[in-house]
Amino acid sequence: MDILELLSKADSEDELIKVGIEPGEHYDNIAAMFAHATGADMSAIWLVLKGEQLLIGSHNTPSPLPEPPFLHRDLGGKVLYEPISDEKAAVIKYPLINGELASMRSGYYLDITYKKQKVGYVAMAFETRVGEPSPEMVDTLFSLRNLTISVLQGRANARKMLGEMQAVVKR
Amino acid sequence: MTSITLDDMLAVATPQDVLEKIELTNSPVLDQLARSCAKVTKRPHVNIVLYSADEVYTIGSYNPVCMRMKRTLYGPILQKPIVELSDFVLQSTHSDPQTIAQMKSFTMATIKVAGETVGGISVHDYQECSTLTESQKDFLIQAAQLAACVIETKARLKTTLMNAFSLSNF
Repeated sequence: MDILELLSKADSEDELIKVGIEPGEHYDNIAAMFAHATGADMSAIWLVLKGEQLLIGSHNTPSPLPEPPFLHRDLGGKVLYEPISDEKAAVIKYPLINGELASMRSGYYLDITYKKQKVGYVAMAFETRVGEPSPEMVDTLFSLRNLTISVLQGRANARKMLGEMQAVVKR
Repeated sequence: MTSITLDDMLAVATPQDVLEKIELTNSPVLDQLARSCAKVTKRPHVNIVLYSADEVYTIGSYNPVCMRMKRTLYGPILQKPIVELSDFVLQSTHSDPQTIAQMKSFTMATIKVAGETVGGISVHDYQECSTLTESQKDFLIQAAQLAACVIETKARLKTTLMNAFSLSNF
């Protein structure tokens, strides 16, 4: 078995846990870009690794966020539009960066993958019911998702390389 | 044997000079970022560039505009978060009329590393088009901040690698 074959058998979630992906400015910027592109009132990027949730980036909302009700749903690689009923919106209030609590009435959600395995998702929330995204908007969201995955991959690779170098120094 | 970090280099030279010394190359992440900028701003050409003292070099792009190699932008114009075509008219002494004359639409968000402008993300069109909305400008500013994070991370990694190669010869 060669090294590439070996790596391809590694579980993506395990790998990201081992590498130690941390929240950071990169992901806050990406979350803000998702919000500005869609007009969302807030946005967040979550990793869900072995059942553990980690908020790695957010825009217009402080950490920690209440867990959204759709966290473990399989989005099938599509953009999911979810209207939220007034009753539910009245119960689940999201904190905004200015300290106010806001009731969100709809959201867009996308899966994030790492080595083709789902490892988290991006959520954008709106105070109104904005309706299904247009094909053009879906295209933009996929482009931003690819960017998110590229950054995640790049940071994971960087951390792997630095880990390897630290191991050499310790010897 | 001592190793030199990016912070050590930034303490004795300008961010622009340090990045020039490190010689960052094209990045697929920045190409992807350029693609997203094109989609959101609805502009066909996007360049992500770094400035040296007198040159401009592209490190990420989507359907790029052929940039003049010689740097023509200087001065206070680069301190703004967003630079637009109208800024060139106001600052005509700092611009190159030949380059901008062909462009009907131009907006650039400046990329700052260690508080200094080191480059920009520019979106272009040769056709007349409506000005960017505030949301689109905010998007571009965030994209420039992300580019700055990516550039700084790449610079730190490259410095670390350069140290590692020099140490491997011990």
